[in-house]
Formats: sequence, C-alpha cells, structure tokens
Amino acid sequence: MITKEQLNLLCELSKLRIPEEKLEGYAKEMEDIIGLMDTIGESDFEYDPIDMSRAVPFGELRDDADEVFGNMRGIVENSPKTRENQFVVPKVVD
Amino acid sequence: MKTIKELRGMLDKKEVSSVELTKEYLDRADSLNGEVNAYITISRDEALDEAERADKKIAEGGALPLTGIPLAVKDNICIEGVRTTCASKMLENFKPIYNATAIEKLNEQGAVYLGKTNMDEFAMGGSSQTSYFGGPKNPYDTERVPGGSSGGSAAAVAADMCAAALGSDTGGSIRQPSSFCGVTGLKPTYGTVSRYGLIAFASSLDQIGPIANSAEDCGIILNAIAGRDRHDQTSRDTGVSDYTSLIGESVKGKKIAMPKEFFGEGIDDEVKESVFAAAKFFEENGAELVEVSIPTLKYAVSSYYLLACAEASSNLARYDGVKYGYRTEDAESFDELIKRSRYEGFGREVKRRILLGTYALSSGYYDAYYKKAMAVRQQFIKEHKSIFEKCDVMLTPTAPTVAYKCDENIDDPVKMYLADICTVTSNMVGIPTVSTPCGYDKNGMPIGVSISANHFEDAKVIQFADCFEKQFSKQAARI
Repeated sequence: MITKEQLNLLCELSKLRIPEEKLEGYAKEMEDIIGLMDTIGESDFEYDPIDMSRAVPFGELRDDADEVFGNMRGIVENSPKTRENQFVVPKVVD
Repeated sequence: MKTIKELRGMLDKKEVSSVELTKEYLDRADSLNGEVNAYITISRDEALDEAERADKKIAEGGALPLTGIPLAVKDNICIEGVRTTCASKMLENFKPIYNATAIEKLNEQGAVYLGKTNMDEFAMGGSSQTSYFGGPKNPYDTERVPGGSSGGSAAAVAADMCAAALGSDTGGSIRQPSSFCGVTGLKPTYGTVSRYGLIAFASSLDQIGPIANSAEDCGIILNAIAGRDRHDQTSRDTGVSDYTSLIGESVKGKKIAMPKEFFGEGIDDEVKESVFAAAKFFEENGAELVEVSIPTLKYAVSSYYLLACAEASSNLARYDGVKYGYRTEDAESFDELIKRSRYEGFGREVKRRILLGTYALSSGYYDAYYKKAMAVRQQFIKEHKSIFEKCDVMLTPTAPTVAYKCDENIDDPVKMYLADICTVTSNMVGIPTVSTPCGYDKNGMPIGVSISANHFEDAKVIQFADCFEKQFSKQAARI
C-alpha cells in the first residue's frame, strides 16, 4: 500500500510537484506497479558485485585531456532563459 | 518496396539518382504521415541537400554501401541542428549541438536523413502511444499500434516512407515494433554501437540498431554504425568487419535452442504456431532443435523494470528547466522551478517510471528491489551462457501477441509491462537479437520470430534471419 505521505516523499526525491488532487491516482498506479515488482522477492539469487563488474564490457578510459568547446552559442540557444551567456534561475539566496 | 541492396544497385547503375529517390520517399512520407504519424519532423530541405552531395559522391565513383540511401532516424538520436524531441514536451524545441556517433558514421557513408521518427516519450513504452505528438499507427491496420518504443521507425519502414531506419532498444524497442509492423529489426550486442548522442533512458541496457526490410539490410547498416567510440566507454571494437559475411552459409548441423518458458501461458496460439513453423523450417534445413529452460524468466519483467527505471530516474534528473528543455512559467523559487518544470514537461508514463526508479533506489528498499534485480540479471547471464555453450542460436516469439488496438492497454501500465516478457532478457544479458516476420494472424497482422546468439555473434543472427527470409512470403502493409 503506497500512502500519500510515501508518494509525497518519492515526489520530493524525484523533484516532481504532483498536484494534491492527482496524488491519489498516482498512488493507485504505483501500488499496482509495485505489486508486480514485489514478485522479485520470491527469487533467492545473491548479487555478486565483482562478477557484475566483469560482465559489463567497459573499454579503456579516454585520456583526461582539455578540449576546446566552441559552440557556447548553441548551448545558450537551447536554454529556456539566459542573460549575457548565463542561465537565469529564480533567486537562490536573499 | 526495395531493400538497401537493391537501391544501391539502382544508384550505382544510375537508374535513379539519390535526389530522385529522396524526393520519392519524401513525397510518400508527406502524403501518408497524416494517417500513420510515423515522423515527428520531416527534413525535406536538409535531405535534398544531402542527396545532392551523395549524387556527387556516386558520380565521382566514391559510393559506399549507404551513400544516397534515404533513412529515417528515431527522435531520441541526436542530429546536429535538427529538432530532437524524444517525443516529449520536455524537449519539444531542443536542437542538439552535436551528432550522435551513429550519425557521424552514417555521414561518413553519405546517407540521407528524411526526418525524425515518432516514439514513446523518452523511449518508455511498448506502443508509441505515449508520444507528446500523438501516437503513430500501424501501416497494416491504422486502428492498431505499431509497437514501441521505436514505433515510428518501424511504421515508416513498413509503409515505405524510408528505405530503413535507426531505432533504439532498451527492453525490446526495436524488435517488438518490427514484429508488429512486419519488418526486420536488430538489437545489436551491447557495446557494438556507441550510445553517444542517444538520449539516455537506461544506460546499461540502451542500444542503437537498425530497422529495415531485410536482415541483410540490418547487417549493412550495422557495418556502418558499429565500432569503438572514445565518447562511450562501453563501446567495443568487436573485430567484425562485415556483419553480412555469414549470409548464405548453411544452417545444417546448427543447434537451435527453444526455451520452453517462451511457449507457455500468455503467448497467443497463432504466435506460437508461426514460431514453431519457423523452427520447423530450420529443422527441415538440417538444424537441430533443442529444448532448453530459462527458469528465471518469471522474474524478467520485474527485474527489468526495476533496473531500467532506477537508471531512468538518475538519467532524467538532468531535466531541470534550466540548461535546456521545458521550463515552467513564473516559478518563485529554484526548487519550485525544477519540480514544476519536470511535472509539466514529462508525460504520465515517464513520471511513473521516475517514481518507480526512485522507490527502488531509496533507502530501505534498495536491497529488496534494486539489488535483487541485479542478482536476477546475473542469473540470466549465467542461464544464457549455459544455453550458448550447447546451442548456436535461440528461437523465441518476439511478442506474446500481434499489434493491438490503439485504445487497448493504454491505461493499464502493469498489463503493458507484462507484454515485454519476450524481449527484456536480451537487454539484461546484452546479447544480439533480430526479429523477422514469420507469419500473419487471422486478421493479417504480422507475427515476428526472434533469433538470439551469444555476445558479439550479431553476424550469426543475421545469417539465420536471412536464411528464413529468403523463403518467407511477406505480405505488404495495406496502407
């Protein structure tokens, strides 16, 4: 059972502001989904982190070298709000 | 409907120019897109410019396998300067400032991009109906879904609105829509194709791959896009120079694994019959069918969704309404700006998955969900390793059903998730799998069979799929 309080905590962690009137609908859906996920509790396999690190095919790391990035304009153009090549956000400190 | 191989021959013999070919596909895309909604963006001017350049290259005698071939690209793969939305309000106006590595490699070949194809929002879904731009439709029956999440790419290929397309596959998103739309789709071995420039969903599962009219065409595209990339630490130099090299080799004496759990309850009878018929074809051609077991399959859906959503909750944390993407109006604080932008910018399915992923990773639940799912993933790897020690390939249905009606399942996430049972293990294990059409149900809807092999044996799945395709009578889409 997912309570509204639990869902509010998840929303806080997920950085999502779900309006109060929609919380119940989301809680019901999450309950159904978590019910499906709970089937994994029946499995009794042990996780081996060392084995997993071998299974992931990581290649060699690239050199940690400086690179000149020339398209500052492209970055700024994709931002919803900028001023003088800086991102604009609401005031954070008084 | 022509394959890339046929189009290559026509271009090289100057029977048609790339500009003419591109115009033909663009005109068809323009005329059908209102009905099929396969494309979010059609890039007419850019495509014709690329086609002109390709024609020059062909005239100079420098044509490569994909020079001048008109392709479509899923809208989660970045093309510099071309709107890349991920089918989300969040990225409605996003224009990437760099190309995905797969695109860079296709550029080296001189391929032509007709446009960006529709999909489930952030590749999260199996119907493509979660798209912010309205769902694409199945060219075999426009009242039905094309599958997802690469539904637009599969529909575009099936409706002859492009010669082939790029898709991405995190839990079946290339193979299931290919099955629903009666075309061939390949999820390569994890690491074969760079993920750089693919908008991330679940990084340990995501892989770019081709959707085309034949397995050979998939191989031709894979030849172009595969390879080690310094921008993606998980990419590999596989040492394979030609993924079509095994085409034409006999399947005689090869062992085909048939995991019994894939043919049980929940799989439609017509699907089972078609897949068994495909198995019989291989048997008649000298292959041996071997019944095997993947007992862990019952945990496939839960473990996949726990891992994919956990990774998604982390990957999608970058959308904050500041650097790029949707931004809410008039937020009074920084915290409110982020939370409201994310609530308003993401669709319901994306929010559900972020919440689930956050839940699985949160204190007190991590061991019970995320760690358990990782343990199941390890077990899948062991079970598949054991199968491929004894067998060459594995044969399974691609999806439990044919394409369903657009209004079915949409409001039932659990039912939608369970429908991924046949595809998710391939991503969890990282092996290559191709889906190719193997039959049609009583309503004429396509059925797909999946062929999987061990890691980096992509050429082998292409060989088997090609062998089957050469004798299979395909029915064209009705549109």
